[in-house]
Amino acid sequence: MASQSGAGIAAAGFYLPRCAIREDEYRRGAGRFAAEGVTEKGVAGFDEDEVTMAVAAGDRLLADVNRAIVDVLAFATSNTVAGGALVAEALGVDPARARDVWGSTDAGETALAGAIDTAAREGTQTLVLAADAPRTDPSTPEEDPLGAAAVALLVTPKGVSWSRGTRPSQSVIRHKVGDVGAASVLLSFLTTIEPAEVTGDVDVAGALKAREYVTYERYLAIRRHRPPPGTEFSQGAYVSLPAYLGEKKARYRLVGERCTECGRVHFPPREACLACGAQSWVDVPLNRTGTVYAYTIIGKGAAPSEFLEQQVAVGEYATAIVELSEGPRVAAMMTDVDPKQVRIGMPVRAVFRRIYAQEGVTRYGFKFTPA
Amino acid sequence: MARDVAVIGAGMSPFGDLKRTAKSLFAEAFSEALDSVDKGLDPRDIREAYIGNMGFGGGQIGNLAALMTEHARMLHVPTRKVENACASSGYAFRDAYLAVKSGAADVAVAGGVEVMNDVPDVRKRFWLGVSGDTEWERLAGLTFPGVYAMMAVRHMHEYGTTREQMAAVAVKNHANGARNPKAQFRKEVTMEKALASAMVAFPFTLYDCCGTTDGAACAILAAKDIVPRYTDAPVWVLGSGAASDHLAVHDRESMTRLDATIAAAKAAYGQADITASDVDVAEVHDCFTIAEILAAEDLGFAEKGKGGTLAPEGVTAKDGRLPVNPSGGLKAKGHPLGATGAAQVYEIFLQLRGEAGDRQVATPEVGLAHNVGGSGATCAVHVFGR
Repeated sequence: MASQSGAGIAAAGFYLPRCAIREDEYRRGAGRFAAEGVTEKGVAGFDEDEVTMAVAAGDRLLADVNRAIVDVLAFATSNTVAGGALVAEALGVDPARARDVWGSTDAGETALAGAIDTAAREGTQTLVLAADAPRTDPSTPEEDPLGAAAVALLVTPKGVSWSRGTRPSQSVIRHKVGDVGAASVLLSFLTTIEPAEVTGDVDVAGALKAREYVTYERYLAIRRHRPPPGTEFSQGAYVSLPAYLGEKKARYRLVGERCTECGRVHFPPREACLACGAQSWVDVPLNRTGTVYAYTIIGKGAAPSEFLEQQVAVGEYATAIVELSEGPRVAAMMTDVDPKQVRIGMPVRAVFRRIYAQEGVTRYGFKFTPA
Repeated sequence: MARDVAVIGAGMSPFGDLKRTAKSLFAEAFSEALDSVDKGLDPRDIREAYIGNMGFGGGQIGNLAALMTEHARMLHVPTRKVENACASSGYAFRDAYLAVKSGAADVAVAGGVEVMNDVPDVRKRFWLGVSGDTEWERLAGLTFPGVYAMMAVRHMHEYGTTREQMAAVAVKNHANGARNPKAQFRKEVTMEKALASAMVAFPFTLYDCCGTTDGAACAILAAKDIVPRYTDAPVWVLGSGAASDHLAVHDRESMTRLDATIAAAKAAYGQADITASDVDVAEVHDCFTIAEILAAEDLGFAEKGKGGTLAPEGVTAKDGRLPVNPSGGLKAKGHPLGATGAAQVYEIFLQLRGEAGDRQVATPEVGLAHNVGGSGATCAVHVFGR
């Protein structure tokens, strides 16, 4: 039992990708596995990266915590990705409160130590999000030990204490998730916290049991973020960045609008109320669940150009019109599901994912996955 | 002021993967239209020209209409491109009709053209999805077949429509296309082959979808008082209806009907003072097999939910009670987006004049052309009589 006398962790959450690969399978496919001590590791989905996983971990934590108490959001990753503001937007936290710590595997520890320091000295409440997913070349041995995971820790003036250098034995978790960079130490630490000590979820062992194991061939396909030769997509669906980002609250967080005249809820946003024609709105956060109203499976080779890279990598995919529990319907891709399992009426929930990249900018948004 | 309007001539280029330019295809369609005017027509008599085109691929985009008309011997005519995706020339026809009916022009041309096969596959993929909702539907990874496939999934769910009923539409339209010398696909297809071909978007196989097509079509319209100058066998425009709807299907109340079709048909039937049962032959917008089933219901040819029964029961066959798409439809004749609406008018013109050759249906009095833009955001319906 850790001490709770001073500044420390009051709430926790984490995210492990749905898929994993075992050492023997990786070695069979790659002909090597330069990852001593790792017996299996997590595999980020094709549409996941450190940003989406940080959002998933943050979502889990904020399910039990009022996000208004977050003074600072610190996003830590070993990659050269400054995603703090984007993660904040997706979590409904003011992006002006976002900080980035990146470029080093101890970015998570740096962020957490800083958070505890400001909590102790100034009473600042910081949401620390540490996430990593490999951006190496899968054909190189550097790839072998790299896993993917995210941790969310809410630091307040009173919580479970931690100090830099407190490094639980790596064997606690590394052999199951692989090297997860900036999230490594924080994830190991999280497994030492008793559920009763914090709000949120620290049941890493439970999450590990729910994973699905993939073949090395599938692993390589999912990991290939570069378009294979001959599939370059010179023209994608053109939704300009200003148009896309102008609807951030809808695209990242499924915030709908309620007509102030007649009360009808719309999603996606409209310019005039469908019921009464009024043009005055208040935001309504939707609960991000619904059921499949209609669906199709886009066959191999039939994707729009901007999704060709994805289709070459992962094959056919399901897309759906989801009837949200508040009533409106929206078209969105399905993810983390066998396309053939999708049915009308299937309960689903929204998850934050990569949608596609255009002009070098990754577009993020929501997809749906079985609830 | 409003005057009766007739189609006095119509023409169409071959449809297919043609390796030809838009201007050559349009000039050919226009020449045939001109030649079909029984007593001849001087192109200088044409007062307005409306050219349907979506802009697929990457040929001339701006000012396309001027390029078409100059090469079709209509230099200096007032012209413009009309764009409503796949309903572009259905709307071009409506605009030409309104111009003549209003008295603004005595003779007007309504045509359309599209060249779709002059770009590599990766570019086609871009263009094939630009007429559905881009901001949400397309970013959900939806293709055009995908959007109609979802309508089919709903129709199957709500009314028990089957893949076999949809495939029967393909079998019928391919049989018709085989008799049309200008059709893109002139080969019959069996039910087994249609059902077993590659899955494009569940529940659609390749044979549930129209192809990508190059082609042009054209109609010439004239006011009643001068029609006798040109022909003794005019095809009268009895009614013109058009409507629009939500662009994105997720915003529509129902996914198993096209409200734009229902509203356009109501307007056209009302003006013509007919009902659906008066229609003897119809060219409907079968970009996908389910689209012909939806059209049959929305146009009133079948009870709601029963549209799937028409093709298997032979009702819509060439020799059936109500022949639908005797040309082969978009499915077999081909679907050069901006040309499709005008090509439907061409077919009805031939059918009502008894000039449709091997695919002529028995002595029709009333014909209908139904042209849909995208997944139903726009629709134009025209009713014709002898």
